[in-house]
Amino acid sequence: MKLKELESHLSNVENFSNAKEYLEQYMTTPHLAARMIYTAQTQYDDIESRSLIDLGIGTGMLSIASCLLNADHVFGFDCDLDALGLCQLNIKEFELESSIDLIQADLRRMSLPIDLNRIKADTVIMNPPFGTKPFSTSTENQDELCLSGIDMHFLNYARQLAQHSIYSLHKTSTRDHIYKKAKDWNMKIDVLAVLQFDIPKLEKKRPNRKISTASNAPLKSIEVDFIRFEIKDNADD
Amino acid sequence: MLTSNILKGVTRGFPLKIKADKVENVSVDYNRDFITRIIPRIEYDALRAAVNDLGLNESLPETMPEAVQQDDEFLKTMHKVLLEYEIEEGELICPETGRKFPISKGIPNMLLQETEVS
Repeated sequence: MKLKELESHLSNVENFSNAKEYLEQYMTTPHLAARMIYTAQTQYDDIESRSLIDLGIGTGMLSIASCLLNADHVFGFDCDLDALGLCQLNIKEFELESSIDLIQADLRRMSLPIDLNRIKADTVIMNPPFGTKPFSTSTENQDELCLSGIDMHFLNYARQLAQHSIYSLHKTSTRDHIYKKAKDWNMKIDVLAVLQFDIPKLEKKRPNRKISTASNAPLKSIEVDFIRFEIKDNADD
Repeated sequence: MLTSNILKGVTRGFPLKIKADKVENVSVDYNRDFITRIIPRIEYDALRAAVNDLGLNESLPETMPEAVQQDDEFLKTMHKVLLEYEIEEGELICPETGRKFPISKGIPNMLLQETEVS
């Protein structure tokens, strides 16, 4: 399947109707998802006939793109039941019910009731929350679910769940930190592209101020790295 | 049933028992290569126990055959059990703590309470 064709199919993936600010929910665009997965397959052979895991599956965009490029199977994780419901609708729309299995779990936890060894997949794909809201003692606990550095939690799970490679997005401003972590975790790292990302700018709630939802919030443009990590075999060192 | 086989209990990680209130039988194209690839990942005893608990009319041998790749009949049975039985509604139960993880619309809820997280 050609890139343009893939992107065209993905335009049928339905978006969030009530995206939750505090979970940094937004749909990975068909444009971006097509390019991420197309690159993963054509340059690295990491999608076709492979088992996949999608961390923070959201609308299901990345997983659906992968199945359209003939991935074997995907386990998709998300903490939000509404997102999972939307994901199921999208999966049904594309008739991929037997290829994508969903699990509701909170990836901010240090341990999960999931046997990481047995669920290990060839490739992990993700568009993790970036945690653009800095930690502040003055804000209520339940709103501060996507704190700065949450993408590192996701990456930590990814490296335990990936047999071979990980495809992820991280803020360019954190690149040095990511390089260091990759080294600590014995992974090869390649920044495949740098993108300009528009994510809804999530404002602090203040009295007498109109609260913006993710769908009508002003967009904040940030630089994002599309990164491929490869799990190094100890023998290769 | 594939998903339920890779989940485990919160504390010691015993394989979870399945209590199914609604099981759907679906038809899925047989992909021999895929089944061969995932078999090493399956907790076989837990799978047999689950098939038994659910009263499914499928016969799985006591132990996995040695030459799995050559055993077409076994692979086809594994395909049926893992992919063609979907637990729509039910529970996964930790045999050690009794902790129940609900399954709703085919999605297991593995969210932990604050008190369960060490």
